[in-house]
Amino acid sequence: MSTIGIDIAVGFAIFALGIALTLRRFAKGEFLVLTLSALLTPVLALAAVVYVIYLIATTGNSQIGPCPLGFEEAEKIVERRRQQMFGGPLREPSMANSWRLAYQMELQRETDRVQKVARRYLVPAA
Amino acid sequence: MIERIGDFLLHNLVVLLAVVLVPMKWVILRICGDSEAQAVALLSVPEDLCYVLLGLILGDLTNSEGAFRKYFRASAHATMNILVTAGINVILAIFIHMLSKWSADHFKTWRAARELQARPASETVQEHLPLPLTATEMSIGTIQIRSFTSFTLLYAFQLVISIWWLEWIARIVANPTAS
Repeated sequence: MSTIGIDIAVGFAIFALGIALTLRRFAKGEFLVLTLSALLTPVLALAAVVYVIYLIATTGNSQIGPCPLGFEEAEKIVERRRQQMFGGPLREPSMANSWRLAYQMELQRETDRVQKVARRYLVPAA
Repeated sequence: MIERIGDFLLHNLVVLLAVVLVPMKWVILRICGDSEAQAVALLSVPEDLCYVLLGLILGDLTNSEGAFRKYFRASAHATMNILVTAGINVILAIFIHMLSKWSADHFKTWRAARELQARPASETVQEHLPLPLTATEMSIGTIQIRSFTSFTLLYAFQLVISIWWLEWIARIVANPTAS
């Protein structure tokens, strides 16, 4: 077996063991589904990155959807629960805000593109 | 056959020791009965690997016949080369520690979101008739998926870095004259 093959096998063995033993303790009932999802995550993440690059190259945007209703509230609830369970300072959740900003930027880019087309073809020449 | 197996084990000893680290840590913490420590210990395996490798490199500083001295023997500054290698290892350990902290944060958020989603039996009319999901509850589900994915990815990323470093060190330890 080549050295690279051993490295990949060792890396995957540690990853699978670490994830499986952790989930065995904390995800009773959904252990198998979550372990399989976790093992597939690196592959899916790579596929997602390739897909986003493809979308940006072909359509010019990454097609970000709007931030779901109640997401900010949900983030605060989860953060409060996390603090109750594990202690530490209460952090200000930022994902909803980042999501909203990214969506606004996406809309802005789309608007700029539409305006550019409109100026070129729809506005009558003086 | 036995010779081939022995040769294989000798050449990949450091890498194979890394695999033993995970079940060994788990077994010891299981014997101690500390469940919270089990998760923390398993998630810090990549960081532990960095410390094990740092020990291997620093061990060579005092050993004139060590693998790293042999590997850098062509250089006039073998000690400095070993120190630079140890320095890179320290920087990697700090980087992996930061990733590990970030990963642990996502793990805790996932557990908190999971606990919030697991409704107690008193909240459901019947087991097969769950209450309708509100927007906030569905968002908690999104947070759960997002935290779990981030935790898994960060853990995998830490492992890729530490195994890549481990591979380089293992190659020197197994065959120090190949410089």
